[in-house]
Amino acid sequence: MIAAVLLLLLAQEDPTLGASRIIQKNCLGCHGPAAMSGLDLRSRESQIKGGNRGAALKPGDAAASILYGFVSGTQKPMMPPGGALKPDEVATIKRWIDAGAPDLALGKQPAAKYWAFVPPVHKDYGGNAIDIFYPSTRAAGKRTLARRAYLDLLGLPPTPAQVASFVNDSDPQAWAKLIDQLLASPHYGERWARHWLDLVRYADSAGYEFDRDRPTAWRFRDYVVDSLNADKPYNQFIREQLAGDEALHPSPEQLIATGYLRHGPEANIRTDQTRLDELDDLISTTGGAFMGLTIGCARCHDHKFDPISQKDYFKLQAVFYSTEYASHPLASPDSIARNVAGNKRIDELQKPAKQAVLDFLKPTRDRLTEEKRASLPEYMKLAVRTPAPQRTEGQALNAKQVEVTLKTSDEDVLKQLSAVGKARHKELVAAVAAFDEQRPADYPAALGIKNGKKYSPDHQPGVVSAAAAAPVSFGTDKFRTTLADWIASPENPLTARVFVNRIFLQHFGEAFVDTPSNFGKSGSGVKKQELLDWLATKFVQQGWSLKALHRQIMTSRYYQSQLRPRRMEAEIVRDTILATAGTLDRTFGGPGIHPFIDPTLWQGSSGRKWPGKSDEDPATWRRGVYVFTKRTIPVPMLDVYDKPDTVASCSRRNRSTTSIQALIMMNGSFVEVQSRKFAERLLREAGPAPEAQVSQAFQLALGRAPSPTETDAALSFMRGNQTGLVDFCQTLFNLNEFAYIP
Amino acid sequence: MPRYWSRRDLFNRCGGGIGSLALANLLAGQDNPLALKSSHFPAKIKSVISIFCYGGVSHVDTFDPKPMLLQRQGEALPEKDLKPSQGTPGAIMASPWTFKRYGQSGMDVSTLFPHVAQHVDSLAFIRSMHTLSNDHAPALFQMNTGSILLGHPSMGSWLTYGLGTENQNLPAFIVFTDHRGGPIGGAPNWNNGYMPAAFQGTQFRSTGDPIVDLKPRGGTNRERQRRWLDLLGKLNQEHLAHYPEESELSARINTYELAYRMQVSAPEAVDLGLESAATRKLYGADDDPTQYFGRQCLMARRLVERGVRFVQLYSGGGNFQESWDAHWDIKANHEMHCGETDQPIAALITDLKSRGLWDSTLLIWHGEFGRLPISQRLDGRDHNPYGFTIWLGGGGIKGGTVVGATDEFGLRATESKKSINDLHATILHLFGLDHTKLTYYYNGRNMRLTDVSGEVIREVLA
Repeated sequence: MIAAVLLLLLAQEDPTLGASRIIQKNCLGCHGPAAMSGLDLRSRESQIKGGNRGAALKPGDAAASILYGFVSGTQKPMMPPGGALKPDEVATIKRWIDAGAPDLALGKQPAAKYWAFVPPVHKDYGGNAIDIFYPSTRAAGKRTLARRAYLDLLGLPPTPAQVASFVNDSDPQAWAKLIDQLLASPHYGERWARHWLDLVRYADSAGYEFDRDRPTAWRFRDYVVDSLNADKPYNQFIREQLAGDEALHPSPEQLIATGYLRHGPEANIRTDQTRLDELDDLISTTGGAFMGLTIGCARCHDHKFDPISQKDYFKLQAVFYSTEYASHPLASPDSIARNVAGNKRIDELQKPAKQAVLDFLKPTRDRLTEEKRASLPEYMKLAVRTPAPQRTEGQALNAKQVEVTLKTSDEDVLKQLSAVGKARHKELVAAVAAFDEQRPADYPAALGIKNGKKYSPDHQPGVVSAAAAAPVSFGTDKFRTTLADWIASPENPLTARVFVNRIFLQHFGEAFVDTPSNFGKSGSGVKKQELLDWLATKFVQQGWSLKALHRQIMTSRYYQSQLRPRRMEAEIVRDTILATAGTLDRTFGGPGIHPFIDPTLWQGSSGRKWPGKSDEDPATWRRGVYVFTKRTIPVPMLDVYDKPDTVASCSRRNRSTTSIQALIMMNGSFVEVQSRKFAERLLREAGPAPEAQVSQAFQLALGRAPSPTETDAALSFMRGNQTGLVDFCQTLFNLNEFAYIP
Repeated sequence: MPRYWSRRDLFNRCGGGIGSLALANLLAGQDNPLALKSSHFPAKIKSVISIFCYGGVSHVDTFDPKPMLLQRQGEALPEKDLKPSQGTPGAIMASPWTFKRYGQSGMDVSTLFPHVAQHVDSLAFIRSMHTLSNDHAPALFQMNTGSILLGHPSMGSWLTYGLGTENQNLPAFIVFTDHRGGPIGGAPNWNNGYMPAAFQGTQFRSTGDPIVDLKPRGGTNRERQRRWLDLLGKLNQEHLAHYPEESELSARINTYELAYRMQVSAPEAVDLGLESAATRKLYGADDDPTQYFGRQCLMARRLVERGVRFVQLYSGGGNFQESWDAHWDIKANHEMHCGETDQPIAALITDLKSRGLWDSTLLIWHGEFGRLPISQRLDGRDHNPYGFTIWLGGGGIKGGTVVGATDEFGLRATESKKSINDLHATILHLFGLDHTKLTYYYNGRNMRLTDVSGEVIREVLA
């Protein structure tokens, strides 16, 4: 009997742990961050302080505590409202309060146990774990594999010869060799850079009213392309972008990398408010892109789902607070000094010429201004006439307005000039402009950031505490370096997982977490976490090598099986058309290109311009990743196929299916020109025989021979049809098979 | 995956005839983002026409009379720390126009809008609007998307996302910019933000082909196009048969048929040659200075008649005085823009009524903010986000209503202040949508057009 009682007592849960579990589960939904009725039960202090109804508990005396009264039903309202606690739970609460209500440490331990905050542990599955978690069904044919690999890794279709070479290679290592060969192609970086550029909301202009071009932004795009081609370890890639400028002697590459912190949109009028929005962009983008956390949610309140407090948010704000916009010169101090001196010399030379223009216009301008002054309304004239000390407040304002704003514009002056006068004015203006031609060329520069003033000392930097195994110490400067080191550490539970999930998603169209920038509780949740963890830990073991990760994924039997077709991204459709037509200009890097956009779509306000070139111009036949991204003037062909708006980080493109897309593919001049070019290529390569043309066209466009039915359909279409070959080419560009990765 | 089950099931029952999974299936189906969807509760309206007077209309010179401005012209405003967007504030400046009362309701309208004034008994003025930004782009974005920040879906996107469209042969969300150019902020004003591109506004032009790329350069040869589209259909078959469960593939095929039809239906929808001379005259569609906006108003009527969900017309575009942004010489500015738009807007009201479309259409007239009661650059007015007037008319709206008021100078909304979120909540309400329930999951949140606020403006509801 005694033994039984003893056992029962021993079996009883520790009341503090029990109360912690019960309150966490039943109460904090309303009496946590939301503090309904003013009651926040998360800390011992706030429990004792209570809410609108007074103290929630009296430590050591459950009977006198309203918390106990409500859960036991002895006081109204009964809590929780959704259904009473079980009797043993009520008893646990009583024992906990009677024991002095020790601190429950709520919101700390239980939340930290969320899977994404526990670092992944490597487990050996004796081989490629992908094939254990995804038993492959039917193997894909070699032609399909070749096309899949080329489109996946390069974003360009294989040539018929490239397909044949792989199909005819009987080496068991043929597939691995092909992957290595593609990973070594510089086109690989162009293809995969695009995903990263989506994530870091890269654009070539600032957005908002003037949407000013950022003429050096492209260096960042090239930096990403080059980094991927060089297989730069991902942890280094992170550090450069977050804190490249904080290196001891930053290289041009490290300075360019800080463009990451400059790509966000920039308001026309920058105020304290817009600065806070800019910082929010950095916090939200960094949280989402690197760690899959929606930290931005904690700007206004503690995160509703994840253990990210508003304090965490402001600690991260303190990390970025000191950043200032910078244009980093990428030239030697000598050449910068020469440039400055050269410009100064021209400024001096220009002064008399500029004065001559002003002097020439002055008489007319003065006359017009006087006329305007004479036509002011009487109350304004009175304000001006009244001696300053005697002016009323209103008169003072109006007198000042007259003084500051009564002006005559050059435009108005020019209207008054005779033809001779206008010609003379033109000469004088030309003399000013002539000096500009002698100005030294601009030295190269990179858009980036640097550290300026620090946040107030009582607002210290920090990280998302629940995701950190141990407190992170920030020291007194280089806060971003500390943040980057924490993010890019193998101990960070999220960084590697988030990254491998993204890559897996790009290869298969689905992944472990379907909301790739949200690994939190409001995201999709995780499937096959063991495999995700295997890939993530393997990725770190392999030196954070993206190319090794591609190999890991692509050499799985699963990747080589029959998969669901994936729609190509906007840029890849465009690239594939150019490659198929044989017109693709493979030039790497440099300033962006401006394909044609119908002026009625962008002509407008505040000096926004789109210097589009005709679709006939070969200078525009470059890869889509090089298309200039102007935030308020999207390129329609890319826009309607869901190229993101580049305002915020895009982790997964939308996939629309609309008739406006079809109109562009049916009637747009880009497709029209390239269809013609493709037809010319067929004539060149296959000669005049329609059979040969059809066969070659299928090989080029789809990487395979046409079936007999397809050949028949194509031939009968072309027979007696004057525009048959061109139209047939356009048909191929519009096929589903053409636009999907097999 | 039940989604594929039902489809495969259907496929089998159709006896393998892929072609029989035809257009009708797409139009109703899960793969058509614009398929008709039901509202939360019965709707009052089917369509909305937004007349956006870009640049900012002066409320104190149009629909919100302030006799105090004449009485105290030349005096300083009581509010001292006002910071106009372009600096150098002047003193109080009287309106160059006079006001008169119209209709049974006796609502005040200035001499700038004599035609619209005839309809006040059908309109509800909200004189207590306010907005968050003093800067054009953020204020335009807020009016269109609810947020002053770039990157949010516009109201038209929300409506087409929430309700789909009644006419699959036309875009569901159509925007006409001013013939002088588009507004500040450009395409993001009618863009889909984080939503799929299927919900973005399509720009229509009021002359020539309405849609860019509606025809190939050099014109359409329907027969030639039909031939290759038929070939496209044939050549798509083997691929489609290989992936019977991928409904997106057949959806994509069907967009070509819709586009083919749109090439006919879109020009027809805006073909004003099909309108009577009397109707064209009513809108001033052939006369200066009304012809541009008159044509757009008439096209808007033809589009809502055909089931288009959201039509937005911009009055004003380009630079300086080409928009309503009257930083100087407000007299010339507003007389020009009112002269271009007053008659066409009144004609639109008359025409919608006579065709029985008034009760199913909401007409909203607004800028992105109002203008200050003090002078700027001697004879202009600077931006005023603190108080301004918009008006609504049509289905579900109680005509002859005035909601709210600004202070005696028209500087700030003081009575029954209404936010842009309130306006958006009201518009969604008229469509039978609860603004707190129309959400789109993005970045860990169920986003809303009205973010976390907004109250339906009950005072304007019939």
